[in-house]
Amino acid sequence: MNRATASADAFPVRVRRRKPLITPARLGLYAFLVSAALFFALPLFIMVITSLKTMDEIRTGTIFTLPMAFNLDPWIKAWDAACTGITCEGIKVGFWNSIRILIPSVALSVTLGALNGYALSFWKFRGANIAFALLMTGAFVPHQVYVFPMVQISAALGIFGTLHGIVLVHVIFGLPVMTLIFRNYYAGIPEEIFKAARVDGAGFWRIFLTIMLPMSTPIMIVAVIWQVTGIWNDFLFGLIFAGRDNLPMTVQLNNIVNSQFGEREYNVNMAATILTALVPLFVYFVSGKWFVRGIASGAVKG
Amino acid sequence: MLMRNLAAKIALTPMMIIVAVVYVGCILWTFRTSFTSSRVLPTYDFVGWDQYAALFRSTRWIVSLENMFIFGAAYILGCLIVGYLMAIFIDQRVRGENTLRTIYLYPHAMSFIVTGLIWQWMLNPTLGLQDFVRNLGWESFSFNWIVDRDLAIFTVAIAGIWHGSGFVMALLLAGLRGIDAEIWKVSKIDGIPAWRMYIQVILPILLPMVLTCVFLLSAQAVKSFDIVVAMTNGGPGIATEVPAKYVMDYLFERSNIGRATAAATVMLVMVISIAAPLLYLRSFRKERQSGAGK
Amino acid sequence: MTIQRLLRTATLVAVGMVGCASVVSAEPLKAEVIHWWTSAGETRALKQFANAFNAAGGEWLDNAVAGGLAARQATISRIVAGDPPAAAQFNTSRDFEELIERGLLRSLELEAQAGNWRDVIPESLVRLSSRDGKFYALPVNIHGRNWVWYNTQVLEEAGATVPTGWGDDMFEALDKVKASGKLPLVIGGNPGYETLFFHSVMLGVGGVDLWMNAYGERNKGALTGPAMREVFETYGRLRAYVDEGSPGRPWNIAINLVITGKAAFAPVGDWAKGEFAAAGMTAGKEYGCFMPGGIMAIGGDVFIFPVLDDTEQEKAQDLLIQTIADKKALREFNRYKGSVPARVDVDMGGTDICAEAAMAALQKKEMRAPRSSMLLPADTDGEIRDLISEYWNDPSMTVDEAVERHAEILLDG
Repeated sequence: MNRATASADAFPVRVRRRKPLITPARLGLYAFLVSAALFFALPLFIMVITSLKTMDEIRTGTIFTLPMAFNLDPWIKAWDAACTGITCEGIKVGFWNSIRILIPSVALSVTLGALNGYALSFWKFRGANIAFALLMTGAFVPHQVYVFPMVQISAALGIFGTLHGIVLVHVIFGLPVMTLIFRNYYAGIPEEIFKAARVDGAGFWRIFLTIMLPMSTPIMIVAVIWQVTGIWNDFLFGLIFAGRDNLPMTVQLNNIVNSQFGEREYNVNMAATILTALVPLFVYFVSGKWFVRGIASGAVKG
Repeated sequence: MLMRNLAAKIALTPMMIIVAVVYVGCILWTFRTSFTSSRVLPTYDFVGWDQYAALFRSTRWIVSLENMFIFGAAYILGCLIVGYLMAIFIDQRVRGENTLRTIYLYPHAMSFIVTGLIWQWMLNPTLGLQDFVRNLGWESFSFNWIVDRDLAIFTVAIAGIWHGSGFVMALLLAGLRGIDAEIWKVSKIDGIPAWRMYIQVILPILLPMVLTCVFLLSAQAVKSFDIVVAMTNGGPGIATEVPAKYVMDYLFERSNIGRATAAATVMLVMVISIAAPLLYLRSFRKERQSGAGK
Repeated sequence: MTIQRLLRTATLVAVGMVGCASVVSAEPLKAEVIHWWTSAGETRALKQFANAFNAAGGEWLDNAVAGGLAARQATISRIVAGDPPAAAQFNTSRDFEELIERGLLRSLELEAQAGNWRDVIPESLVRLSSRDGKFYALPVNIHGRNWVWYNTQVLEEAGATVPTGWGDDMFEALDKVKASGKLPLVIGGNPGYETLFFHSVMLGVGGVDLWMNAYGERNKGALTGPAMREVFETYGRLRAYVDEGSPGRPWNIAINLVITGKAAFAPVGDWAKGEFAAAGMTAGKEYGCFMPGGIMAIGGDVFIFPVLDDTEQEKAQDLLIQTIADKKALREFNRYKGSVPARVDVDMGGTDICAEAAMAALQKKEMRAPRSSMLLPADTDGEIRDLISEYWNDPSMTVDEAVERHAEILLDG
C-alpha cells in the first residue's frame, strides 16, 4: 500500500495508528478493478466456452450456454488439422514464420525508435522537427493506401517476397509510433541529466547507451508490447510482402476464420484465435516483471 | 558543435531516408493518384477534381466523416478515462496485479476478425445480452443499440474502448512508475486528497505520455476499419461507415484507386488542419516558457 | 598433360550438364495457384484440380488466402512486383479487365478453340472472359445467387404452401408463418446479402428483361419505370417480415435459424447447401429450395493466368490450364463445391434436386441472368450495395427517392 506507507512516513505525529487492512476505499478499489476485469474478460469467456462446444451445441444453444462436456477437439483441430487451403495442418504451419518475422522486426524498430526519440529530444537541430512532423502525418493515412508504392519500392530493392522485405515494411510502418513513444518519454527526463553528462565529456552514443537506455526499461516494454502486437497480428503486409515461403500464422488464421462461403466452425475459429494470440499474451504477462516502480525515477535521482 | 550534430545526424539518417522516400513519397503519390482515373492499377492521367466531386456527392462519405468524429471522440475519451483509472487503481499495490494487467491488456492481442464477431453476438438483441436478460425473466429489458441506426456507432466505440484502453493503461502505468514517490509525501503534508493529486499534479507530469496516448488513439480512430467490418460491416444500412473503410473498399473491393486516394487525401488534409494549430500553439507555449527561463 | 586434363574437365562439365538437364526434366512442373477456397468443403473441391495436376506430372503449389479481397490484392501486388503466380482465382466480375488491357494476362484462345469453349459456356461468361475475340479467363463454376431456402416443417406447421417467387403467394406464406409465431424471413444482415436479396426480388418481380435493361443497357426508361418501382415497393414491404436482430447477422446464422426450425425462408446463394448438409439435412425433405420465377442469377469463379517470363514455368502453366479445363475435373470439382460447371455440356446427374434445378435453368438462355458485378464496374456495383442497404434499413426512405438514386448511380457511373 504505497499511499498508506507514504502517509505513515509523512505524518509520524498526526497519523500514528496503522491503517486497517480493509477499508471502504480499499473495497471500492477492488470492486472497480474486478468489475473492470469482468467487463474485459466477458468476450474471452464467450470465446473459450464456444471453443469447447461441439458445432451441434453451438447451433442449438445460446452464446452464454456452457458446454456440456470439456471438448478439446476444436483446439486440436485448430492447431493441427484445420484446413487452410489444400493442406489441412492447422495454424501451426506459420508459427515459426511469424517468429522469424517478429524478432528482427521488433528488435530493429524498437532500437530505431529509441535512437530517434533520444536524438530528437536532446540533440535538436534544424530539419529534425519537420521530419518528425512529416512522420507523424504519415501515421494518419491507412497504411493499406501505401501498398502500391511500397510494392514498387520493395520490388526495386529486390526484396519483394522475402523475409527482408517484410521486416523492412514492419520497421517502416512501426517508425512513427516508436519514434513518438520514445521522444515523448525522453522529453520527460530532466535536461540537467543530459547537460551533466555533456559536461563530463560524454558523447552522443555514450549518453545513449550508458544513461538513456538504462532509464528506458518501462517505455521499452510498452514499445515492445505495441510492436509485438501489431506485427504478430499483421495479416495484409505479411501476405503481400513476405513471399509464399514466409507467410505468417495470421494467414492461416484468416483462412480458417474468414472463409466466405464455406461452413463455419465457430468452435475451431475461437480456438484458433486464442492460440494465435498466445504469443503476444505471453509477452504481456512476462513484461509485468519490468513494470516496477522506481527504475526510471531511481536512475533520475542517481 | 559540428561533431555533436554529426553523430546525431548519422543516428537519424535511417529515419530521414524513410521519411523522405516512403512517407513523403507515398503522400505525394497518394495526392497525385487522387487526380487520376486509376482503377485496379495506378495510371497517371489527369482528371482534375472528378474524384473529389464524386466523393462529396456520396451520402456514404458524408456519413463516414460524421461517424469518424463521433467514434473518435467517444473512443479517445473513453480509452483515456478508463485507461487512466485502471492505471491509477492498479498502481495501489493491489494483489494479482500481473493477472489484472494482462486481463486489461489481452483484447489488444486478439485479432479483430473474431473478437468483433463476439461483440456482434453479445450486442445482437436476439443472440446476446438482451435475449439473455429477457430469458432470466426481465421481459421488457432492451439493449438493441447495435441495430439502431443512431446508436450503432457507439457500440463500435464500446468495443474500441474495450480493445484500446488496456494499452493506455500500460503506457500511463509506465509513466506513473516513473514518477518520484517523494511527491506523495509532499501531498500528504499539504493535505491534498489523492483524487486531486491525480488530476492536478500527476496528470500534468504525465502530459507527454498522455499526448502520446492521444496521438496513438487518434491515429487509430482515423485509421480503424477492421473493427467496423467485423462488428457491423458499416450497417445498419450505412449508419456506421467510417472514412478508412471507404478508402479500403474503393482501394480493393471496388477497384477505384483514384477515389480511394482522393478519400485518403481528404482524411490527411483534415488531420493536418486539426493538428497543425494545436502543434503550433504547443510549440509557441514552449518557446515562451523557455524564453521565460532564460 | 594439359590437354588430357582439359579433356577430362570438359567431359566432367558435359556429364554435369547432362546430369543437370535430366534433373530438370524429371522435376515436376511447379505451378503456384492463388485462390480463396479454404473451408473444408471448398478444399475437397479444389483437391480435384490439384490431384489431377499432380497426377499429370505437375506440382501444385497452393497459396490459399481466405476472402476474395485479400487474395485479389495478393495477386495484383505480385503481378505489379513482377513475380506473378501461375494462376489466380477471380470472381466473375470485371476486376481482371484492366489486367487484360495492360497485357498482363496470357491469352487462352488456343485452348478455347480446341475445347470449343464458345459453344458450351453461357454467353455472358464468354463475354466477360474474352476481349477482342480472345479468351483470357477460364470460367470454372457457376453459383446460383438468388435461391430461397425454406424449412419444410415450419411451412407445414403454419399451413403455408411453397411459393414460386416474391409475389402474393409469398406474402400469404409469410403472413401464415408470422401468425404461427416463427420468424417468416431471415437474411444476411449486411450490404452484400441485403443486395443479393434485393436482386432476388428484382429478378422475381421484373424478370430477365428488366434486369438486362437496367444493368446491361442502363436504360433510363427501365430504371425509372413502373416495373422498377414495383421491385422497390415489394422489397420495402418485406421489411415487415424480418426480426429486430437482422442487421449484422451473418448469412450462415440466418441459414442456421432455418435449419433449427426457428425461421421459414432465407434468400441466400447456393453455398447455403453446405450448412444444410453439415446439419444432416436433405434437399427436398427437411428443407427445400426455389429460384423466384425460375430464373437463375449466375455468378461464379474464373482462373486467370498471368504472363510469365520463364519457359519452365510456362510449361507448368500449359499443363495447369489443360488440367483445369478438363470436363472430368470440372465435374468433380463442382460436385464437391456445390456449384455447377461453367459449361452446359457436363452431366451433373446424381446430385441433389437443387443442383438439378440449377442445371435445368442454365440450359435455357432466357432463364439465366448474369450477376450485377459481371455487367457493372466494381465501384458502381458497390454503390448500388450502399444504396440498397441504406434503403432496406431506413424505412423513412421513399420508393421514389430509392428509384431515383438507383437510376442516378447507373446513369452517372
